[in-house]
Amino acid sequence: MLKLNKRSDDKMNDIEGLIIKAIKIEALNKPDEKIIIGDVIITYRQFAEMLNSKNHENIIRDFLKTAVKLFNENPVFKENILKLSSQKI
Amino acid sequence: MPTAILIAPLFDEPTQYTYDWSRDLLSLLKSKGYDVIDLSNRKISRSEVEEILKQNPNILTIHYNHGNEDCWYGSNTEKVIDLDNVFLLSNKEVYCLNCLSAKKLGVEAYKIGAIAYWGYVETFSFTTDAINEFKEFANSGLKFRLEGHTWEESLELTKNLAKQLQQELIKSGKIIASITLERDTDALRCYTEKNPPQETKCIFRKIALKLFGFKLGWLLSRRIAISLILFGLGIGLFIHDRIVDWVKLECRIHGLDVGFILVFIAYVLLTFDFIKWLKRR
Repeated sequence: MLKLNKRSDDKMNDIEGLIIKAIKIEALNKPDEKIIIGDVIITYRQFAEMLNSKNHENIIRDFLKTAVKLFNENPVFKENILKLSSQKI
Repeated sequence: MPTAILIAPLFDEPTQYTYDWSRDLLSLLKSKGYDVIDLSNRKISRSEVEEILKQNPNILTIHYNHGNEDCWYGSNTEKVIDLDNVFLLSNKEVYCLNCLSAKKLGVEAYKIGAIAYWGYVETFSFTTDAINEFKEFANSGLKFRLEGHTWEESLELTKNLAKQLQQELIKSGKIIASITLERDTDALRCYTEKNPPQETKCIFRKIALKLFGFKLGWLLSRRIAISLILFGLGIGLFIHDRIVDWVKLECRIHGLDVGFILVFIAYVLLTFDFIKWLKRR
């Protein structure tokens, strides 16, 4: 059971890793675009830096949770993430 | 002539966007024959909003700006609607583009009889590389409603539109925007009589919703719940002690037992009538 859980955690981490890489590539391609979360304004450049941090803030954690859900449910999204994440940063 | 109040204050960078988006709604409302009271492009005070809502009992009420779980803002310091004056939303259709207000304020508005409350249970987010898509999504609910759809249909149509917009964003490589739009879509709610709020963290509310259904479960107040629990505990204690007495001593019925049974019947009858009255509201 523990092994199974570990395997699914590893798989989740792999997916998150791919998503983080794809998002970073997109963010670095247009660093001055912004994401506005309520009254918080973050440029894509800052967003990419936040993704580098090991202890993700709540904003990033929630964002990644949604991204993983999309990755599992939306084949076009998955395809795009795989395509983007195969590029070099 | 139907009337609408459009509250779209402007005092920081995010509100610049929401103010711009609200201009499309203004044109739309006017084209549909609405007389629009436009409170926008500045800081808005609580008193002016309250005055208009009091004078126009059936006014379509729209707020485009910052919000929180329990309020809408008119400026960075002043709340124009919160839990103290939420009663002003009774009998009104309410359409919000603000953060979080469907979480608590929207539920209260539903409980006090708002016809519809459109809003978000999480922070509303958007990205500047997909401004038009986010604007289309944010305004679409009211657009569908003004085209003649019910609020429930408008919610479904808006969620479908969000899926289409999201696919377009993904195909054009706007991954961050597509994730952000997904989060907004997940957070969107529209509370109506046919579509009551269904989420709560309160364990007693959960029990009430399970026992009495969504419509009635939301109308029961905390005091009613406490009175029911205290009554149940009281009965339990009384019955326990009487059984102990009966086992120890002989089975004799006192006047106290009869009095208790009468009080119990009276309470059940009152509760029954109270629930019937709530259901009629």
